Amino acid sequence: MSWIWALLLMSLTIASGAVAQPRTEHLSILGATSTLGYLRAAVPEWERLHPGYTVSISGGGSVAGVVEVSRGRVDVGVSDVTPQKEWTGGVRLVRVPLGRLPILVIVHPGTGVSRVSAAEIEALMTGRVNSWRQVGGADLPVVVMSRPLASGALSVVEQKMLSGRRVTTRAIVQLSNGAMLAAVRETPGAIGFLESGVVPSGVLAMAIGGDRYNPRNALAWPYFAAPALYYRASQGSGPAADLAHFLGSQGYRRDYGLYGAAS
Amino acid sequence: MRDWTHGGLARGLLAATALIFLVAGLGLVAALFLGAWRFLGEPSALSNLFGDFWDPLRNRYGVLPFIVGSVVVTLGALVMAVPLALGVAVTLAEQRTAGMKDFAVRALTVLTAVPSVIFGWWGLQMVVPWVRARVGGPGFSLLAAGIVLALMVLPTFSLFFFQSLERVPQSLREGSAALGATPDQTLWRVAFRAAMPGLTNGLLVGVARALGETMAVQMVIGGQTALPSSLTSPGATLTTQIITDMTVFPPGTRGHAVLDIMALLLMLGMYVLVRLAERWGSVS
Amino acid sequence: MKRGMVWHRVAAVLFAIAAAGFALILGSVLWAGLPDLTWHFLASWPNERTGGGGILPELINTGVMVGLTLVITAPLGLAVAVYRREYRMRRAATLNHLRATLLSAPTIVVGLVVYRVAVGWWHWPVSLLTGCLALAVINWPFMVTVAGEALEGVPQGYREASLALGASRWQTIRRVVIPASLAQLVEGLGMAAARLAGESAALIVTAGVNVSRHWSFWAPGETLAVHIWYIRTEGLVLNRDAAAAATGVTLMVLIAVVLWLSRRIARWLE
Repeated sequence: MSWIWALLLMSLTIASGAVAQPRTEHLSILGATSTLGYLRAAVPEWERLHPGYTVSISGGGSVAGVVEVSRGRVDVGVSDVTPQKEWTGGVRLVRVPLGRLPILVIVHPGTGVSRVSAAEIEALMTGRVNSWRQVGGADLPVVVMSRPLASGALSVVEQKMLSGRRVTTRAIVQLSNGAMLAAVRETPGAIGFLESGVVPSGVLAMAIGGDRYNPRNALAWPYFAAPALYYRASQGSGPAADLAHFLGSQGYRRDYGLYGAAS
Repeated sequence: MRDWTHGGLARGLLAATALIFLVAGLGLVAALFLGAWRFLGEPSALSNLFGDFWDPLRNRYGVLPFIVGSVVVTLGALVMAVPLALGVAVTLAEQRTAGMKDFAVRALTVLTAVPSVIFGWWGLQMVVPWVRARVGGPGFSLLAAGIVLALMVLPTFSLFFFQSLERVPQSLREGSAALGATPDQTLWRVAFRAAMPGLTNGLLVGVARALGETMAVQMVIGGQTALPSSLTSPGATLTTQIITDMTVFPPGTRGHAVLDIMALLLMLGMYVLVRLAERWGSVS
Repeated sequence: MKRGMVWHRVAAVLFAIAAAGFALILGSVLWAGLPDLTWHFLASWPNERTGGGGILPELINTGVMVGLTLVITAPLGLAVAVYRREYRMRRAATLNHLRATLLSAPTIVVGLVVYRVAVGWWHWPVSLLTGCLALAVINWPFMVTVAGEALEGVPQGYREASLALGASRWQTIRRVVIPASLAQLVEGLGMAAARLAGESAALIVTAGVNVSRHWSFWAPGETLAVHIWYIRTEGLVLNRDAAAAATGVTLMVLIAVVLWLSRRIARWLE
């Protein structure tokens, strides 16, 4: 009865078979999750044009995207923020912009407020205003929703909208864009921000200081993330560069809220 | 002689596997230590670490809110789940037919295997709105996390409690009844007392499961990093904060070292639970 | 009412509450998911551009990853358990503490470490195989536990009888102990499969959140559980709740089938 040995041998064979399998060329993309939907749609198209290649996409955030591509752990990094020297470690990266991704301030419809001044949005997001009545709305507590520190949208909001101030530490943190939308839609008194090219149903998009978002004139909206793909300059004209440029040039990026070519 | 070598070879292989297991397990902890060392080696690391303010971008790494969150959510889940699980176990142990009991054990086993994302999904769908409407606050809260977690660990608790009640010898119960005790008195004074080690063991296993749960809790707890002020305020636990912030700190950064410390704290907690279970809950 | 049954009544009420809670959970998932659960959904490729499509690759990935992990960890787990139970092992207590601690280690911690070691040090890509490695680390202590319990279930008399007949320790293990515990081992294997199929936290970092057009062990491997997490959290598509629920139902049915099957096989072996 040597079935144990057979089992062991079998597992070893399978395991080694897996490892020694003729390696298809493999590329990895890692980084900001704001463009995950677009990447998941566009990558299969590239794979179809390049038989023998597989491309994995994983989340991880903007900073991780830059750090991992600089260290050579992944081939293409996705980032909403400009790479800093301490992340890249001096490695030269090539930037392929994906366009502008509008960042909308969304509120639950029950708040009764759809227009605020720049000072009011700052007071709301930093937690200095606790009731919607203070900005002319319903008698509801303000529930601020934010995103993790890794979020590029959060840093855009804090830098451009709050002039460098931080979103309140009492904010509820939603891990992702989709979770943010669902939470604001379902929570009375909620205010949050969303990376999206269209105003989703069930929430109101705030006009801020006279600017109102209009999808037909998206480039006029002042608050946006500028996600971009990065690959190492040393990869010159390799498959990673080809992939990045392919992804940076697909017309239907607009369907995923990515407007304009460069930024 | 040939057979001896055969056995010897087998023994050697088995010993080698066990050794690899030991090395891999300790290696996991060591890898965490290696990552954590970068931060632990700093001056005043501990006072920074046990502060109540988390703002890694300004070098404030207080993990106290998350420890509080982990403890409160776990305790909340226990308070809700233990009575329910005892109820389930007692009711099942009362059943006369073996077929019924067998079915119950199967059903509970299947329920322990329900994936946590399903619980999280259900929590978002029903628990969060319910807390918001009935109890107040934004809905995303320690309370919601506790409720979701309570239902998650309920099958585990029930299964362990039921099995330890089953292990109480029938003769003990019958003896108690013969002495004129009512079924309730038998339950409290004989069955529970005799089953105590098993109950404790089940309790500690459930606590470990609750403490380590990530996805289901993350989806409903709200992720607020400030020290929670009440049960209905949002909060974060050690596990949820690791998954929230691991993306901003890739391996090798200072922030990642703090995440490693949080992971080590969790592992330490698990180890303490294991030792406690060994001490108070040794059933076999 | 029979005297002194108050607490038993209370227990029955609590039982009813617990049962109702679970009926509510399973019912609401089934209710939301069943209408969308069609053959087309199960057997087609996801289509990100229209937000529709099916979950075939996720289904395959789940099967392959769980299967491969089990094939690797089952013999390893059994080996450790056999060595601990059947031989006089030094440091058995240490091994036991380690096993129990790892068993309850949060899977996200395992994911973190595997990512650092496999992706960071060994330069494996984020892929199906890296995900398998994470699953294997998660599952090994579980297999040791399950196999240990199965070995405990074999009466000591069997071993003594075999040894008394002149069999060596290894022969006893191979011919007596393992065959006698086989049924329970198979059931444990089923439990392990169910547990792995539901894993998501560790896989998000190690196996990736997409599927590739070209299947390979080095290609990204999104599983059903990760897919639920993805649609529920990242996706902005309209029918996402229904899609998440339908995927959830698929996953639960899969788990139920695996558990039922392992039970049947165990019965047959008995």
